[in-house]
Amino acid sequence: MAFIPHTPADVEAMLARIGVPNIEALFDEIPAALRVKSLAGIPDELNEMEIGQLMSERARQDGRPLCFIGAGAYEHHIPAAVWAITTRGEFYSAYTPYQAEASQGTLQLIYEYQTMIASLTGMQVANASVYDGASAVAEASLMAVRSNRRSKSQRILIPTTVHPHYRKVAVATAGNQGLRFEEIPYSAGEGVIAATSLAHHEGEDIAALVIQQPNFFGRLEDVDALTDWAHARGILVIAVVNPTSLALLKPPGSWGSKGADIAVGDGQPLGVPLSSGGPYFGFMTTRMEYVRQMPGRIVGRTVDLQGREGFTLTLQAREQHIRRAKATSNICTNQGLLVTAATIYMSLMGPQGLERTAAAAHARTRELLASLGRLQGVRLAFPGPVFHEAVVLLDRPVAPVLRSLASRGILGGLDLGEYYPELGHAMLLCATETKTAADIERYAAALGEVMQSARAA
Amino acid sequence: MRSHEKVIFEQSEPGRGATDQWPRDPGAAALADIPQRLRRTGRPLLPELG
Repeated sequence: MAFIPHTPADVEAMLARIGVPNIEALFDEIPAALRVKSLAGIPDELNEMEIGQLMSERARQDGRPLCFIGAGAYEHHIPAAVWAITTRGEFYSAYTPYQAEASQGTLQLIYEYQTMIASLTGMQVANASVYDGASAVAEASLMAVRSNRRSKSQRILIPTTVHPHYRKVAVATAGNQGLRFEEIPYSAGEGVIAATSLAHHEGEDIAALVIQQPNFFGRLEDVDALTDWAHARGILVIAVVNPTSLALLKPPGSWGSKGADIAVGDGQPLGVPLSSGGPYFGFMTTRMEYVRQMPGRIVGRTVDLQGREGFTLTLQAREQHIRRAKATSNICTNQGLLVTAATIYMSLMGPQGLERTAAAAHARTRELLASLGRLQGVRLAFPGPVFHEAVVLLDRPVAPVLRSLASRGILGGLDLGEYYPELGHAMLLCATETKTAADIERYAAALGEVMQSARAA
Repeated sequence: MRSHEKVIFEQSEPGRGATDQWPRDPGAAALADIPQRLRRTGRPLLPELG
């Protein structure tokens, strides 16, 4: 089989046949003002050897820094077996298994994944996954508007304690479909949703409230009270959760007296390595009563005409299966390969292993905060319980401090100035189970030196 | 379709686990600052394999 199917002569012949002078002309319907002239940092075409050399050089620039950045993507230990199995030929295709008769292994794997994610979130049903946590929030918002029969509005309350990128993606995706996202401020002293800000919405017609737990600051929200507040007013609750934390924290299905209505999140912590922002995958779960409004697809277990058990795709309210206008979404493809890795990860960790991972990450974070709290010019922004992230305030601008730490091989955290300028010199940091006592000591010592040098300068 | 093959949960046995893949247990005291009302009360249903 030819992997480069067209010779220059073939291309010339095809262009001549349709009367087009060159390939560029095929794109002339795109206005010149909208065309990209060049891509910064992207070289002209390279051969395989040159690409290999370029990537090796880029990898050398990355080095192997000690990472204390979280903010939605987390460094966890991934058992070697996870990717050894995931990259077996039988699994190594991210493509959707449309042909049940030829794809039983992949379908069974997705079925197992759905069972595990539904159990982890405490919800009744999970789909086969979506792109990532951010798109899952957008899809959940659209789903909530479709599902909430008591509400005639398309208003979604989205606290500023929800990941800023998730909020941005939700607005970009669903804002153009008529949804209105209204931000809820956080309590300046506590870093959680301010109860008083919810009171402003008493008596209003609202479709859903989004609650992230742990929130973007790492703080734990009072999910029971928030969920009950929303339900008492006919508002659906969309939970945004970290899957690792769910081994320790109350699952969305148990929030308040009724549980959340939709639970989503980014599945990256479950066996997917940090990788320049992706690819990751989003998970999505709900109550059975809303299953027909859930985007994407579900794998079901069934029997064939001979009574033999097997697995097949079901409930696919997607544009390629039903009329486009009736589709729940057309940007909800599942991330097969990443889901494969996550399923193997959860199987290897089991309930106890995942609980240990969560507990160890929490313990390391407490140790880190205790160490940093002893440094002059560093203090915790918000008191109260966290999971494995927290915001600290410095007595000087964060960016130069992070640059100095990076020069010592430490990724010290995320500068929150861009997202939360009102916090001042704030940075978000994270410690997972991968950090040792020596790592924490090294970070605290380096930060202390950098702060002292800055004061002396 | 093939004949019935056990799903992974049907191969699970309570108490089994890939223990050498897990981090060391930090102990219950490490979690003391998380309020009980925010904690999970039962473990999730994940397979227990070794």
